[in-house]
Amino acid sequence: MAKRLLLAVILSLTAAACATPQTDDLRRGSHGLPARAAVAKPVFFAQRTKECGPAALAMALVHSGVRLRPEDLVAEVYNQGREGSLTPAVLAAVRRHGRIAYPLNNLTDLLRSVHRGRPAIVLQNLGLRLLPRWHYAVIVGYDFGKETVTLHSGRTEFLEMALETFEHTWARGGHWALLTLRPGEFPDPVDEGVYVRAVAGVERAGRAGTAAKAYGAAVQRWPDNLIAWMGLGNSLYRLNRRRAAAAAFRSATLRHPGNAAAFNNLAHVLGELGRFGEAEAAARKAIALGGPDVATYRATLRDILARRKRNSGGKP
Amino acid sequence: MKFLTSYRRPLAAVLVVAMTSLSLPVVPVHAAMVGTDRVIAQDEGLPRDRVAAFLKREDVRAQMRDLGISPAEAEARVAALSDAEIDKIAGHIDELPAGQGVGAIIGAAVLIFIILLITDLLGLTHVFGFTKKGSLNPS
Repeated sequence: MAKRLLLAVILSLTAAACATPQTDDLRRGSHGLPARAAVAKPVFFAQRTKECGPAALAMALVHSGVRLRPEDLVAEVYNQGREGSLTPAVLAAVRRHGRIAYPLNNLTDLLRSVHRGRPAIVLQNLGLRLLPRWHYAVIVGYDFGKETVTLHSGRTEFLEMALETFEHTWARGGHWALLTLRPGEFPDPVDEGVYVRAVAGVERAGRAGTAAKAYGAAVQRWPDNLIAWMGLGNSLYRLNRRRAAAAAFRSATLRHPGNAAAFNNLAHVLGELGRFGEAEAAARKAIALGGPDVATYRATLRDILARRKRNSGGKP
Repeated sequence: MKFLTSYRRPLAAVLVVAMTSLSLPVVPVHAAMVGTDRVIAQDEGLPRDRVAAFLKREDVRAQMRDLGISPAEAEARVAALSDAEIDKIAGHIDELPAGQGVGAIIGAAVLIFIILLITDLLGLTHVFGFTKKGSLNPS
């Protein structure tokens, strides 16, 4: 009885360890992907000891047009104490260098990006779940016939790895992969929500110019996306382009007439532009719509009225 | 000593004002633009929906079961909380690594930490010294 139980446990553990659902899925059908693909002339930097993070990051960033060397990234992403690079640091570095960090978490999307000529940074756990050996590499090709993927990994250029092995190590790394996109560039397929949030990351990193460009491309593609319009307005405002910012917030209010934040930001910018009548109307609209930030909207209105008073030399 | 006695009243008044203002909730009252992150947070729904969505995630439920917590019990307790209490929990969920809101894959260690933080507040677990146990518990 005990023996049978043990056998069952071992069998179930092996089954769990062998499952490669995404590889199996690709064996059944290639989702419109060609039998093989490779990124043209992918950049390669051999890693120095334990610095696979800076090397992989540099390969992806240089491929997307940023000029730097892995050494330039060590201070930004390499964590001496942990002897490695943590994923949030890698994410932040991509944004700081003005590229959109777009996450991918399924194998088909990853291979499709290779087919579209975009290398992706992948996090692998080459060890075991309990005894992890973390590693960053860049995926640059695949071949369904040979059932392999090609990686720029460590000191090896064009390392071929069985698709199954890759899925195992990538799954143990939490299915973590990243594209580094130029503003205006979209992955294929692209998720609207994921994309605009990725651009918001660039805005947060203080790259307002890059963010404005990317948001601008996003509103062309998804004219109803509120986050993209608001992000566009906020980035332009940060760049001191108030007229353009007002236009973006105006578009946000026209497409989302129930959104108080859009009216508030429009009011704020119009007030600074001295267009007090329109500004007051927008602020009152924001207050009427209400919501958790209504105190901010009231302050915006007070600010506009005070400005107008100052502007007219104290006369009401 | 003389000093203390003569200044006791004004000192007490100052302290009362200081302590009261410390415990007031921080409300933004200056005229300001609403930042893009704030727009995203509002787009992701009400805090109550965010907490509910978090507890519905399969990885979260699996982790809770591993920890010996009943997901149904956690949901029932969350449903009974007030809006202010929900905000507190939603705040912890929002502390997840940037750009990885509900629906994203997050590191196992981070996930367990946040689950325990929340279940501690709900009074289902007792792990951290800094949470007031069951402080959000409907009684």
